[in-house]
Amino acid sequence: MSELELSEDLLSALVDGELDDAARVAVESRLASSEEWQAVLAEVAETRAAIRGLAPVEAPAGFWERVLAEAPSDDAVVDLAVRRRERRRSDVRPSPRTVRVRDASRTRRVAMLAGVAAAAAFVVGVAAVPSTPNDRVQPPVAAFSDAHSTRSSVGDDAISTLAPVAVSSFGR
Amino acid sequence: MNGHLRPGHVRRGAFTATFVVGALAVLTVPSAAADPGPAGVIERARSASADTTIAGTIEVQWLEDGRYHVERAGARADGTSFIVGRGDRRAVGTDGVRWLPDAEEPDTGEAVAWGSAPTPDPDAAWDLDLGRSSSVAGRAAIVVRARDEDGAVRARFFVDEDTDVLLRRDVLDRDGTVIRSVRFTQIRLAEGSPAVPSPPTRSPAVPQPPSDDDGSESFPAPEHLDPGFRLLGRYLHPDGAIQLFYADGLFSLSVFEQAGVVDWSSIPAGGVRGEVGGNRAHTFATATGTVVVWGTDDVVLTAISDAPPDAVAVALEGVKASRGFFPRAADFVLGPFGWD
Repeated sequence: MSELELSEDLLSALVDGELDDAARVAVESRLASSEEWQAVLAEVAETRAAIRGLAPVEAPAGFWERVLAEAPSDDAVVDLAVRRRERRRSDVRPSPRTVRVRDASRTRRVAMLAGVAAAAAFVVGVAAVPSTPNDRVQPPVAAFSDAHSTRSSVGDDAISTLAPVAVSSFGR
Repeated sequence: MNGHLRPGHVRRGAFTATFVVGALAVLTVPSAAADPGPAGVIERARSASADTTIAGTIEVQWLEDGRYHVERAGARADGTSFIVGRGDRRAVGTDGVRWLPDAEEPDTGEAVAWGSAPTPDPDAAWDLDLGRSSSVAGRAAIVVRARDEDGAVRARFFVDEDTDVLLRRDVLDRDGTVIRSVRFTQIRLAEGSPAVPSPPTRSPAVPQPPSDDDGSESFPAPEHLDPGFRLLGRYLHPDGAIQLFYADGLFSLSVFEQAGVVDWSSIPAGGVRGEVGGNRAHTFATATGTVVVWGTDDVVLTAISDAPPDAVAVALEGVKASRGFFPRAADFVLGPFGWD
């Protein structure tokens, strides 16, 4: 029996809930037998969550005007979304080839980030930009402490495990 | 004596042996049931408060910068639910769900969880023995001691002899000084019925263990951390932080990872500056336990554990940050459009 060829697009569609039942079952079945693709799926989910957690940012002055001026037409924007869905549907097909995990295209996409990120954000209506490694982060130690104690209390004595959270003001 | 046993001697010998074995069995079996050993005492104490009606005051002490901090809060349980806290800081639990109804942090949604291994046995990483019986809040208690590989007592658990409720737990440093203690100062058992808030209508902001383990590998993380921690679960929080949850049977450890670099100006005051894996770190002694914040070039890490601080330090040396958030974020933004 031939194997379904997975792709990051397919996984993205799976995470977004855009696959029909048959396609979803096929993808999940294929995922179950591949730890490597399970890891890729986790990355997709993780990244989506990371971006959802970002605060909206305002585009710089004149940005939208420049993008609109360079966009061929509204149809071109619609076409991109249609093409994406069509490609996902066509990806859900049996293939005798072995699943590929990562290829050079991924690296190329990363390298193209600076040039196309703004346009991509415009097309999908994403009002946030991903964190960069240089972003300064204020770790929410109080919330982390709550999360840790709450998790710890499952499987341990709950009262003595949660009492410190109830009295502590650390990080607040 | 000719050295040969006569038939009468054989019968008497067989009878005596049978009697002795039977007597030992009678004496041994009930004893084993009544004496579960130190690990069994801890196991029972883990769930006893969930099955017992309790009303009392619980005190938390911790040593920070050479000074003991002491805070107290009420604790109540009715056999199915419990509430511990005071004022606007309360922790509530029922049916295996725990939440903080007054948490300042907004509930931003449900966390994603992968994997949920069972809690290790209490003696999986520590040598346990029974100490002399003691008394806590006027109640007789069995004392279980946890020793490290050098034989030093690093934790004590005081368990109610009648109900198995955990009355007190201490954590000690290598010199035998109690650095953190949670104990009942007053307790009434099987009295009253506490008013426990209703469960939240939506999922708690903090992740709960998943109902099953699909075996998926979500985030690369060490399965084991010295001296004895095992990875029990991985959680993706709504804000993008990843929580790796470890336990060693007596203590637990969470490592939170975020993309970026540490904004050291935002770190709470106090604590001690140090290093983890050659990276700058800041360590705090809190009521919850040891909190360590450190960072690599692109990942901010926060660890929280109730284990002795030296055990935490050993464990964190095994943590390898490998998230690489930025490339993945780029993939997410660009992937749907197939620019390649």
